[in-house]
Amino acid sequence: MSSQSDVVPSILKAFSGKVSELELNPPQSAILVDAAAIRDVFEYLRKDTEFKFDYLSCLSGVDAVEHLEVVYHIFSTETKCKLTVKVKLPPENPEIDSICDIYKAANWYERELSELYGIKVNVHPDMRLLLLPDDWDQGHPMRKGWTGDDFVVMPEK
Amino acid sequence: MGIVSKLPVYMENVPGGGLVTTRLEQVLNWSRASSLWYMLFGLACCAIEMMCTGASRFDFDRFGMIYRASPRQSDLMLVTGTLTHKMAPRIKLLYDQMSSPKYVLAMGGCATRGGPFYYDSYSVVKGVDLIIPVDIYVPGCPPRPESLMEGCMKLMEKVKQEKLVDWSRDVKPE
Repeated sequence: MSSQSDVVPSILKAFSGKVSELELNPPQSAILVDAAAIRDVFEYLRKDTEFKFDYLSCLSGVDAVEHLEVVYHIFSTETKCKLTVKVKLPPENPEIDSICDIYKAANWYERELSELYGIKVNVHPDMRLLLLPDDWDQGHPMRKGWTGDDFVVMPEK
Repeated sequence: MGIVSKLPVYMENVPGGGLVTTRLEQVLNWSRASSLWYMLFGLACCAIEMMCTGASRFDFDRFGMIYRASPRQSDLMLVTGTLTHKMAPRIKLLYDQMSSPKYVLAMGGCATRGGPFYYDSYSVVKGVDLIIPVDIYVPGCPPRPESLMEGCMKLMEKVKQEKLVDWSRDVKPE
C-alpha cells in the first residue's frame, strides 16, 4: 500500500488541520502545509511513512504578489512516488524553517531562496550569498517590482 | 595563403649578399600582429564558437593565434559570452594581470551590450566595456567563426598602426 494515490490521504490523516490538499492529480499530488508545521511534515515524509520520500528534487520560490510561496518537490527512489509541498508566506517578513538537516540538498536551494526572494530561513548552517555578488546590497531581485542600479525594464510594445 | 601580410621591407641586392632596410616600429608591429596569443575567457555559448575557431576546421593557428590559459602569456583577451556582475571583478583582475600592450575583443551581443539579457536582468553586466577597455566588437549571437576571424584581422590592422611612443601607455577604464 504505497502507491501514488495513497500519498495524500495518508498525510492528511497524520496532519489533520495543518495540511490541506491542493489538487488530487495522481502523477503529481500537491499539498499545502502551514509554515509552522513544515519541519514536522518533512520529518514524517522522510522517515516515518512507508513512501520513503528520500529525494528533494527541487525547491523554489514564487512571488504571487499577495503572498509568497515556497514549493518543494520530493520524490521517492524506492516507491517512485512524487509529491509537491507548498507553503504560503506573507509578503512582509516571510520566514521559514530550514530543512537542511532533513534533506541535505536543501542547503543551496534555501540560500538561493533567501537572497533572491528575501525569505528568511531560520536555523540554516551557512547563510552566505550564493548567486549574488559578495558586495550585493540591492535587495532581492526575484521579487515583483524590484529595481536595481542598472536594471532596465522591457518597454511595452 | 596571404592571410598575414609580409614584413614591409626594402631589399637591396649587393655583391655577396643583400641588404634589408625597414623600421623598428614596423618589424615589432608585424611580429606582434602575427602572433596574437589570446586568453580564453569563455563565459557562455560564444565560447563554443571560439573553440570551433581554434580547432582544425577553421584553424586560428594559421594567423599565429594560439590560446593561452594564462593572462601573463597573452596579448589579447577574447571575452566570449555573458558577463555577470559576479564575474566582473574576476575579469578586471585577469585583465590587470595581462602584460601591456594588451587588447580585448568582445565577442557576441552579451559581451558588447548585454545582448538578450539587456532588459529585465539583474545579474548581467550591460557590456564588457563598462569593466575593461575594448578594442574590437564582434556582433552576433553567437558570431560564426568567420566573424571572429574578421574581428581578429581588424585587430591586426590596428596593431600594425601602433606607434612606438604609445607602447608605454597604460590604459585605464574610466
